[in-house]
Amino acid sequence: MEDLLRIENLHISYRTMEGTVYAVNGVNLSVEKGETLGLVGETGAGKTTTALSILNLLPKPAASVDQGRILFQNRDLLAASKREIRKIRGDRIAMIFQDPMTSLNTSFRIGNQVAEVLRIHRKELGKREIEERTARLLETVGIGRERWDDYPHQLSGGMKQRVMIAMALACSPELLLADEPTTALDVTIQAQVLQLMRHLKEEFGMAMMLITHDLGVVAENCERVAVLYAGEVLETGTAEEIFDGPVRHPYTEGLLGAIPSPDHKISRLSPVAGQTPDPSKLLPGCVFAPRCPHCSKRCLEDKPKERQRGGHRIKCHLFADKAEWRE
Amino acid sequence: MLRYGGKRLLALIPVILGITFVIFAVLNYTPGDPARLLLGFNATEESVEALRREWKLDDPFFVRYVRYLGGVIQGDLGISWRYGVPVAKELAVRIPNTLRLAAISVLIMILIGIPMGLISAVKQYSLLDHLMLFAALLLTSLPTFWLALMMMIKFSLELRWLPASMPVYGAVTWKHWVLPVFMCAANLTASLVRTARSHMLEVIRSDFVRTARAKGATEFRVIAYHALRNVMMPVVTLVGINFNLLMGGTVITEQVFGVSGVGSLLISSVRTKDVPMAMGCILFIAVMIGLVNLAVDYFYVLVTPRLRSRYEKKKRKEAGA
Amino acid sequence: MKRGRPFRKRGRWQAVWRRFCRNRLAVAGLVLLLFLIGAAVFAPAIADYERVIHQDSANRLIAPCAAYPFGTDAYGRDLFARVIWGSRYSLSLGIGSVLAAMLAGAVIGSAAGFYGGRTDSMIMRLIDMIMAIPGTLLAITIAAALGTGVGNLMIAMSISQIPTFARVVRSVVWTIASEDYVEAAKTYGSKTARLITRQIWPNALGPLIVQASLSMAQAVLTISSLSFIGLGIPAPSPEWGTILAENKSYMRMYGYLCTIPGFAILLSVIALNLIGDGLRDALDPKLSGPVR
Repeated sequence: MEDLLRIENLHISYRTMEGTVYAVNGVNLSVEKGETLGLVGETGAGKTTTALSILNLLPKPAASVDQGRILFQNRDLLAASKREIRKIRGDRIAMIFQDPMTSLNTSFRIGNQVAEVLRIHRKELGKREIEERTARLLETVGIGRERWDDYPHQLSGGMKQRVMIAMALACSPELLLADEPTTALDVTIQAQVLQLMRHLKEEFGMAMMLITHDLGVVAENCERVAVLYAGEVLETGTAEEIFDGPVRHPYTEGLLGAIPSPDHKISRLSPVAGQTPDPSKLLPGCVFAPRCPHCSKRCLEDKPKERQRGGHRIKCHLFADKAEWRE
Repeated sequence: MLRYGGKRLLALIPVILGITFVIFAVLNYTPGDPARLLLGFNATEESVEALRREWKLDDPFFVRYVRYLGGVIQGDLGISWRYGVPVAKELAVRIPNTLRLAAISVLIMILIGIPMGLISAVKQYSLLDHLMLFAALLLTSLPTFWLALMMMIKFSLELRWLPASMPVYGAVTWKHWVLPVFMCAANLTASLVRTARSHMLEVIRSDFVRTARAKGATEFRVIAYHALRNVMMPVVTLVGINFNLLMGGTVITEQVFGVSGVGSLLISSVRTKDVPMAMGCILFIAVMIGLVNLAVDYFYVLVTPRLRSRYEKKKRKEAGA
Repeated sequence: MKRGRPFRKRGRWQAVWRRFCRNRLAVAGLVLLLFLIGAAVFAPAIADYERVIHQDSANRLIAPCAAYPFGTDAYGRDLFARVIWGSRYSLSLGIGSVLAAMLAGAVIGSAAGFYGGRTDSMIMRLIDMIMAIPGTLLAITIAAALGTGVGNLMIAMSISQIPTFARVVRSVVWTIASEDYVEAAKTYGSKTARLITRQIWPNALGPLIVQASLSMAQAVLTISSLSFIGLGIPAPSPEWGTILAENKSYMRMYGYLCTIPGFAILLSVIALNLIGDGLRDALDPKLSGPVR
């Protein structure tokens, strides 16, 4: 199977004044051509760090990638030169950030900010052509071309995020990294923006990595889901396997229990008790063990290996003795 | 924008009033009778009384302040109590010297301080950054008059490259200005390096700079186009603040090097309670501060679209109506 | 994360102290300052005051040696004793004037910010008026009008620094007066005075301390400059700026007369600046630590 993006055994840490923080600890992920992968997890699970590392956008020199490979069409982005990465950024992999309020440059007109992507990556286009495409892009995301000359402060939050989307789509990238694109927006605007993204994804045929802590968003938008916890992927599977399948990782179970929803046939609200572990200490056993209702002695001492059944992968000792779950 | 300028020009008035009022109060409420100070301690009580009447010193404080302002509005700065010459005439001689000192210092601040701070931020944690930070810390912590002394020893007394002070007779050349300007600008330039650096660091770490990188912009473009434009706003304000500080610094510099400027005149007139002269000096300094702050505000609005459009819209509406 | 949240006091200051200690430069500054304060406090034990003022025409202008570590000046006075005793003037005036200005500023600023409305605008207009005058210029003018002397210099330095502190306090009061916990305290019927001392001041302490240490650095510089140009502490007293002014005419042949007192000023200002920078970083880890 040809993966568009494959992340292998990624380890990332931050050095801070308070000591080293281990943000990502051995993440394995893959995104196929044209599919949407949902990356879910609580705040601090390492979702954003993972996404930023793909485009080498981690804050320097605090963050360091200690181990791993990030293969984009079989080319290791971590080993790529700055020049190569720059050519990929915005052109073949684009990214949308969490907070549209601060992600746009307040000093420049929005049209120019969208056009900049084309000016960087489509140098062969003439001035007219770039302006025309920019105007069309703005219209595609539902902003009239007459607002070309507006500054960000003249737009609402939802419209700013649309501008970000227009910017991301400018060069029709093969992969779109969307880091909580709707978290900062009102609920009604959230739905609009997500619908727009779904629609555009189909139209442009690109793959998407949708990062969110909102399982409802994942259920509606993603074909596959990866559940991230304390810098590790605890479970990966199709949306059906995760939401409607018979077996799940205990953490996923807890997450699903945390949303009261009649569709999911879970009658009792059972939020995950406890807090995420201190990221400055690496646990010897399963990262979720301290909060897990099924925690045993083995969970605290031994790191569980990832086991799979078909495409469904789970990292949990509960599945160690089951024959159909292979290492 | 013009309208904005006009509005701000009006806002200048309270600043000038405030400064002159405070200094007038300081001159009035500190011990020491101006008449007695001029005539000396051997003078008779009657002659002192006569002088006080001539200067109308027995009128209430507010009356005298308002009378002074009235004179200023009519273009009359008064006559020096000590020298008997018109204050305006004396200021006309002094102002060019002070202006030259201040203007060159500001230029150095802007042309050296800001770029060094920005470069230091862009190259954070590099050897250059560390060196620059160390030099800036040293320069902000140095007593500049002492630095001037050390430079006098080296460049004036040992190497004989530069004169140690302003000449009493004869022409003033650019060489005379080197040490005073250095003393005046060193401290503030260094502090501007530090503050410009920290503002730039903040901008470099902001989300929109990350967006620019995610677009695939070159590092040069990210810094020179995206970051630079946004760091201008806080830096412009900094220059304004530093100019105010500079106005204190010039006074000390003038005193140390014997520059015949407004600052040294201010000190001698305050000491002798030559109120019209001292007030003339303060008025000049207040106007300078007001004008520079006005320019800073104007420029700030110019580089901030959010503020700019507020004033542009007003204009458009008026044109439509 | 929300700023200005009430931390449990002890935990917060412990964390600040830990971060401060991790900053090697700041700790160096603190050690240096304690050393200088120690010199000022124990000046009588280190050098007899007699040596500060005793003129000895037989021992004029002796270069630094075992008997006179810093040499002697044109009157044959022991420069070492003068510099050590000088720290009493420079440091106590620098620190003292800032503390006085800080206290006055805290009262004015919290009154202005807390009552708001007309009181606020009246006080702040006045502060704005004084603020428009550069601190150094105001200090120079007041010092020149009052004449030289320790008391007068103290008055000039304190008054000229009040507006800075009033502003710092008011901006803190403004940001936290609207916070929920102050609102809550108000609805519970807490007295205003109690609110100011229990809620506002502890939160204003951080920014105030940072401003204070940076202001002290500036004050030590201003005081020595004023003394140097003859507006501060008059001649026989061993203030560092005064010593420099006295020795100015001999600096060519006897460089140590000027370098040593200058270094004393430089060291104390650097110490205060390093502490100020360290405190600022320790109180606001966002600025120095990595983001996210």
